[in-house]
Amino acid sequence: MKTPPITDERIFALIDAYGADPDAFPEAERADAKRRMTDAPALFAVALEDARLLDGMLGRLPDVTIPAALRETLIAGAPKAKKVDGRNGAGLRRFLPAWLPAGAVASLAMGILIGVNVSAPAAVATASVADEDADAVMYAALGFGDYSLMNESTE
Amino acid sequence: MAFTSDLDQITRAAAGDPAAVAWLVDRYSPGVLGLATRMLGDRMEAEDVTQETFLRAWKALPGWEPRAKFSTWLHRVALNLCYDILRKRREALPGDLPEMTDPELTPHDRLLQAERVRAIEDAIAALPERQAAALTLCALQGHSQAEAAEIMETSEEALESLLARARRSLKATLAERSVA
Repeated sequence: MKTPPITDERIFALIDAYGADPDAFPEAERADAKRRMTDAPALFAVALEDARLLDGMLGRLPDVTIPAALRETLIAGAPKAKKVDGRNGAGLRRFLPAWLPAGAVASLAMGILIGVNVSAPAAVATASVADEDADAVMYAALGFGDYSLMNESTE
Repeated sequence: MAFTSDLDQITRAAAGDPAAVAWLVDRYSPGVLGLATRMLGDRMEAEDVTQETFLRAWKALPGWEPRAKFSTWLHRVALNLCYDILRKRREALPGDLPEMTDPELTPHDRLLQAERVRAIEDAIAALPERQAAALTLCALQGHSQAEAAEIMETSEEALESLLARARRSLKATLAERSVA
């Protein structure tokens, strides 16, 4: 004698939990339950009728639809794509440090300051080149001997 | 395949793609709102739960790891938010069932069919919370046993027991109220 693959008690339990539609039963037991229910319809008729009553009431419940305002609110809360403005270089600028403009201004100021300080003594020296006495002192200091003699020899 | 499709949409939504965001909202918000509505019996609170659920989802998107289906994760978050609200209600009104009357009944709501629907919704919302969740997920939203059990973080055997008790309680309540 072949053993039934599912017991009648188990089928009653399934109807009790999942209702009258065998398609709602757990997949692993569905086929066996359907077969047994087809073989012995009278056995399960009362339980199925009882379950159908509740299934029918549950089936009256309308599907829930999302109001348009709620949908918009849900969408509005979602992540936004970051805007990249290529025209003014904002896309590349985000990779540079924030202190860079201040650093550039400081470098420029320092360059001007050094340039002025280095070039000013040179101008003064140029002005005094005309002074032969000063030239003589400078040449003497450099070890070239008597500046007036040097001038004479060249003349 | 829904799982793969979800992943694709999640990745795009995390990058701010409005079409992917709309896709996720249209696909999953009715289920979340439905679950919260059945659990709480209050549409405004259900909408608040739906908003909070999606806000959490948006925050989670950039680091999303597909350990669970997005749908399962969403429903679980919504369910836990519903549990919190129901717990606060119990603390505020110990022993009382939540008030389910709508102060702004329209003429349509007064129709017999609408009253029956309301009675069923009230009866579901008055069930113990885990029974209401099991019934809503399986009987009303068509989740499989495995999915519903995963959302509720329970076993399929425990889910089946919750379903059976929910249906028995509901039948008794509706019979008392002569809803048929």
